[in-house]
Amino acid sequence: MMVVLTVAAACSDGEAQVGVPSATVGTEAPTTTTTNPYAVPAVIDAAYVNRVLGGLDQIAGNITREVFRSRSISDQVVQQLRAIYSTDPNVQLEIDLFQELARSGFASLRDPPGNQVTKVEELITAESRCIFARVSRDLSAVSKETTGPSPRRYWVALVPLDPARDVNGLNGTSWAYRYDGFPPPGFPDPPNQCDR
Amino acid sequence: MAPPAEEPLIACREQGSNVVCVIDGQTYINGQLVDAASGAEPGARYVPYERIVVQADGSRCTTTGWREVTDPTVPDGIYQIPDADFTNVLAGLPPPCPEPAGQAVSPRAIAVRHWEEIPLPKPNPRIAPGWGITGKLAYLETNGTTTYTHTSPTPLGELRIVARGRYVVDWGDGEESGPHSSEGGPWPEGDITHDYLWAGTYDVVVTERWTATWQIGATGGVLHELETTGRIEDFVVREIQAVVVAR
Repeated sequence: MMVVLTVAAACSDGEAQVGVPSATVGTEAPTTTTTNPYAVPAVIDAAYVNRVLGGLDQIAGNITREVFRSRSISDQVVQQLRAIYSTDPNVQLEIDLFQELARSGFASLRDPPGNQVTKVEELITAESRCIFARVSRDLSAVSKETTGPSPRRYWVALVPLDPARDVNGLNGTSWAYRYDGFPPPGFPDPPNQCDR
Repeated sequence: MAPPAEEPLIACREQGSNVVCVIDGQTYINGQLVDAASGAEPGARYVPYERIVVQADGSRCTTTGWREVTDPTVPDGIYQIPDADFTNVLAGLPPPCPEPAGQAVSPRAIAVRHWEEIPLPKPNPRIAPGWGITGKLAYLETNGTTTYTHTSPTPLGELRIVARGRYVVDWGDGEESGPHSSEGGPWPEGDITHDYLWAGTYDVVVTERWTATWQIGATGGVLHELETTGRIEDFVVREIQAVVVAR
């Protein structure tokens, strides 16, 4: 049995107000006190999603720094990418991006590159099986060519991490990107990836 | 029941001024189509490039992608900006992607097979006059070649492999030099030299690291690095002491 809850916008950490239309959660027992910041709460709110996105930004930053340091796209890098992306086309997109950076000598990256910062702008679906949100992304700590948040409208879809894609336990957030990015020029906003 | 097929991804990501998009399995880098079949769009110009891809089991392999090019100065050969960093990425190039079952062998697979089978030149090093003196530079002659071209007929047309070698010298005393692009030479012109500090017997190992490009018709790409070696066994380094024999 599933319960549909309507929750108010979560603004406890002072971030910009975000819209939270609804959240569907399971009926399992309320979570007990835990030190795991990524444990899925009964109500998934923007603060929780921001915490998860921060964890994924940290892992993505570690990957970028490893590529920048080693100047190579190693098996380890690919395994880390598979741990944060739920599908291989998403992984391939990152590999292509790294190869393109390499072609320009990583000239656009800061030394060392920092973490991107992804923040929820609008929480569209917040369920334990899938989260879909419009987000802002600030790449200024990563790229010398960027100052402040990107003017583009980004979307992310998160799904529970498949342990088979992270056998080495590289991703502690327990979530992985099903969608991460923005639509190509001329394409409409992405459909809700949680409806697929 | 088989799991539902994954919806094709339509998304872009950016890093600085680079924007990479994937639309229904086709990849665009900064608006240019890559990994397309050669000649996918009539009138468009494509050149080959090496692309690291991830396979279903998570391992990496290398395929030849096709990149749409609008810059007329980009040559028809491989699309590769000569950059040390990119060369480094390619130095760790994973093995070629396997051919799909039932598909004819690819030009790249033919090139790789030839590359791994052709006898590459080996250095035949010598340090004149056959021994060294501590405190005096030892001049190494590789007696090899730093360029090598191989042509061979194949079912898809003539294969042409152009290889370039660079030498790394292990002097046997814990010191290493290189990579050297020259052949070295004898005193006084040679430019691969070493100063032995201690008398002794050393094994000098000259490793030639080969990189290469291949071409069959309009198709081409980069090949993985290979090595050949030559040795000077038991190279004797002597010490000369001045002896006063008369006043």
